[in-house]
Amino acid sequence: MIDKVALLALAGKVFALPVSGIEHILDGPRTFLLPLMPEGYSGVFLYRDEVTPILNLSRLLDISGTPRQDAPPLTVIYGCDSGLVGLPVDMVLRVIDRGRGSEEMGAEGEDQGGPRQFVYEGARYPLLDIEAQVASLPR
Amino acid sequence: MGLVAMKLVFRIAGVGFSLPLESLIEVREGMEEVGEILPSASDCLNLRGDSIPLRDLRRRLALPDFFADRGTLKALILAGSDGPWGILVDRVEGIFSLADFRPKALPLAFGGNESRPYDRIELWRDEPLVVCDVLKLETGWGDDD
Repeated sequence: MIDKVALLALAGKVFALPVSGIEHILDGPRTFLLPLMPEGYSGVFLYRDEVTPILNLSRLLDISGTPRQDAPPLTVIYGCDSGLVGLPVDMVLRVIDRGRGSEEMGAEGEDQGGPRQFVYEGARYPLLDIEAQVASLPR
Repeated sequence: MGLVAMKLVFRIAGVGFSLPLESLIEVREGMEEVGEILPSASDCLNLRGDSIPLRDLRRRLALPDFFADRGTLKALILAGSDGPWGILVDRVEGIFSLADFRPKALPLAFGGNESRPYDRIELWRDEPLVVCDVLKLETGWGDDD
């Protein structure tokens, strides 16, 4: 099976995600807040009748400024050991065979554990490790 | 249908909650008579001549202050283990049959946080509601009183 990477955009930031972890991409969906959610999550939604958490990608992608009023139009359903999580995205740019790009560690001086970079056609995109991110969050 | 088969749905800051009717003593409308309520203030309600505590569930759950105009606030008087106590809510959706609710698990990623004053959610009209367990709310209320 050819290993692929999806390039996705959120609030003007483009990032890469291994396609192997993507279960589905939804329009919407309707999201809800729960009180005292663990840090790193921005809400929940229903997927296949189960309450699924939404990961807040702002810190991972260094998205700052006033939180947007409108919800991103798409949600990527991503599989982790602890279950499915939703990743809010504005658009799916393209899907690329992983071998057509290369991967690098984060730039020197970045915090340990920062995302690897997927390099494609001269551009570098954070290659997110959602499994590691979820595992690092407090419960 | 008996009370035990019904639940009240209410909201604080837009978040939905469900409460078994056997835990509810009274819904009190128009809370403007309570006076100048600060979100973090403890206050009291008069219940048939007795003064009962009014607890700040909004602050306990770290929800935004006073989503609704004070004049539309309602108080729910709950059957506590040591007597009745009240909470202010923004909106009461109504009373519904147990059949309208479906228990769901909290996401695994949320873990088992013992300090969180709720540990159950349920779906009502495809919306997750926090199940309001009066006894669990009472546990660890601590300094709010």
